[in-house]
Amino acid sequence: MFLEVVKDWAKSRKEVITGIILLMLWLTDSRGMFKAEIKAIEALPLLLSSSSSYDEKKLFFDGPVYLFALEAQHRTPEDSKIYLFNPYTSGASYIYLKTRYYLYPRKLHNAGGEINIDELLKYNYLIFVVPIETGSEAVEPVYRIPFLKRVYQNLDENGLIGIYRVDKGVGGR
Amino acid sequence: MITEAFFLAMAIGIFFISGFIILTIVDWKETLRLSLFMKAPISYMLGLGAVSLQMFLYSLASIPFNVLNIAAPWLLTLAVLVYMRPPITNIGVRVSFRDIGYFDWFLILVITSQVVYAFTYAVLVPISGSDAYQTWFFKAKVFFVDKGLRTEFFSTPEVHPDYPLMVPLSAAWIYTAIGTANEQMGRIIYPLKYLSLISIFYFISRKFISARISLIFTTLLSITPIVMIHSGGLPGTLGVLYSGDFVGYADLALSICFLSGAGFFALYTLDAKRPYLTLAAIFLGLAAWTKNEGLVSVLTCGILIVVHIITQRISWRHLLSFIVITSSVIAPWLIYKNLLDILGEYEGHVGLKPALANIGRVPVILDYMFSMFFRRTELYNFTWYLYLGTSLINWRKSLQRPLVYLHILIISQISAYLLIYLVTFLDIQFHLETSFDRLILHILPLSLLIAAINVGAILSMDDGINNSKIMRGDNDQKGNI
Repeated sequence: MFLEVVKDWAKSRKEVITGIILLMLWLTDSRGMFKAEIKAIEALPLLLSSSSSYDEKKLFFDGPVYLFALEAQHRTPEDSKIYLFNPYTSGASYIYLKTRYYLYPRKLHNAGGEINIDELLKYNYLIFVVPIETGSEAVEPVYRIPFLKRVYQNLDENGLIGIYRVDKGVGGR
Repeated sequence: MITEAFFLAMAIGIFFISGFIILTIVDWKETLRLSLFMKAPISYMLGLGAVSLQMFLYSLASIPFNVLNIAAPWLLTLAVLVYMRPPITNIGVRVSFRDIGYFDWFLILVITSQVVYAFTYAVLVPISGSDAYQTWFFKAKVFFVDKGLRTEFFSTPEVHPDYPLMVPLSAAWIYTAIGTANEQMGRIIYPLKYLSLISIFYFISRKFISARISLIFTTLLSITPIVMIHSGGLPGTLGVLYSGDFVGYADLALSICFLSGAGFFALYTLDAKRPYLTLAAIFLGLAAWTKNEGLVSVLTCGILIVVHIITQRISWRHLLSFIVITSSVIAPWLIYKNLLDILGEYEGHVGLKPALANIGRVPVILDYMFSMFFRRTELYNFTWYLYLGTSLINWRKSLQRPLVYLHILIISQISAYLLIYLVTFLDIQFHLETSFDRLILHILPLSLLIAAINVGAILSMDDGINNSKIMRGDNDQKGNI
């Protein structure tokens, strides 16, 4: 009986010492995670405040692409087929994936940096977003297409956003 | 907002109820004597699988997704079950607070803080990981908007049509219940998975080792950064990762299914209780229903069962039941993919010829893998040091069942990933840098479980696994913790 108690006590001590060593190791190496968690906790009042709406959070995480997608969402019907002119080369894939996500169920085609007129005519809208550093000359080809009718265009510190309707009755083939 | 919160709670409730129904049927005679604390996390994970499979089958039968269609069958079944079944005898858990020391309380506090953090942060921010947008939550939105699966959707290669659907369909169920594709609410699935992961880890490890060692390792798992990155998310970046928030991915679910499948299989090999085998089969099936990588574990476990049957002279019916159960989880999706001619990313690439052609990549791949395992401790902590070190010290038992089976499951999984990197048509460096960090997560909880069992065996004065509680038939919930 006494031996059992001593054994249990010794085992318990070994477990606690092992646990403390392992925990010290883990806690030390997880300090990057804890710092990030503290940062998140510090941001809690902002995240919980009534002024921090869902849209504002989306804007914070996704930037101008979210505003662009919202604008396109409001100005195009759900069954429309959309041609995404995407001349912003370094972030083209990012813009496409985010826009596709937000605009569903609209069918989105990622045209990249060049406009194929025959292809464009299969769609109802052409849209684009270019960051300010890319320069508005990147979208010059859009202005030269006669059958594109401007629905919305805006230039601000977030960049240039454009939504154009493909008017197949005007100069279309 | 209040209505949405109500329907969100209802949607989560359906996950628990459907999983509870399956668990009750699997363990009808309550031979596993699971407490409610154990049933809840298992039920949740089973429920994610059950509801997503239900939605998939609905799509095949052209039944649109709506709250009534999805929830009603489970509620009716629950009512029938309550009527049919004798009162549940083992619903409670006996907790003796006297056995919990200061150190244990500290560990519980650490785990609780992480759980609270995961639940708070996950639901306060929208998704931000690129794969979440590109694949998992995009599909969830598509299935929600379409109220089902449209075959045309799977004709576009860029949506990864060959990826299994447990994660997007379970998120689509949340959207269907609340009536909008609100990502923040959809993200609630993830901290719940985190809670399930650490609970299942604790309870499986508890079957092998003492409560304190189980609690220590559960704490280590809960504060391993890569787990939190996929469970609750972190602001900013961490280590080599481009983001600290991978909530919305499928890797966490796969790691839970892999841990549960392997863990229940290990328990089955010790005491041959059939419900353990059934649970192992369901969880490994769900691993394959979560990500294609899960198929490897199903195949490996199938082979291990054959070995176990031969060496232990057990009925071949056990293998048959494993095949029937895993097939019933995986087959609908595999048949659907086959009928639609959905090709896998690596189909046509996997084989000896392409692997041999790229054999020169092996040093690059191994170097990268080694570096991630052992140098990226800011993400995985000392898991792999502990796994290897304790396995070497406990080498005799590592070569015996069940540990040897668990090692084989891990090695086969790593080997499969090595093969994928050998045959990949992507730039190898790019592919490694954008995926391997997540593949490690798949095997991390199981590796930590093995390390926990090893430490338990090493610290035991007079016993190891073969002399553990479970081998004495004393595997019930103990009075402590």
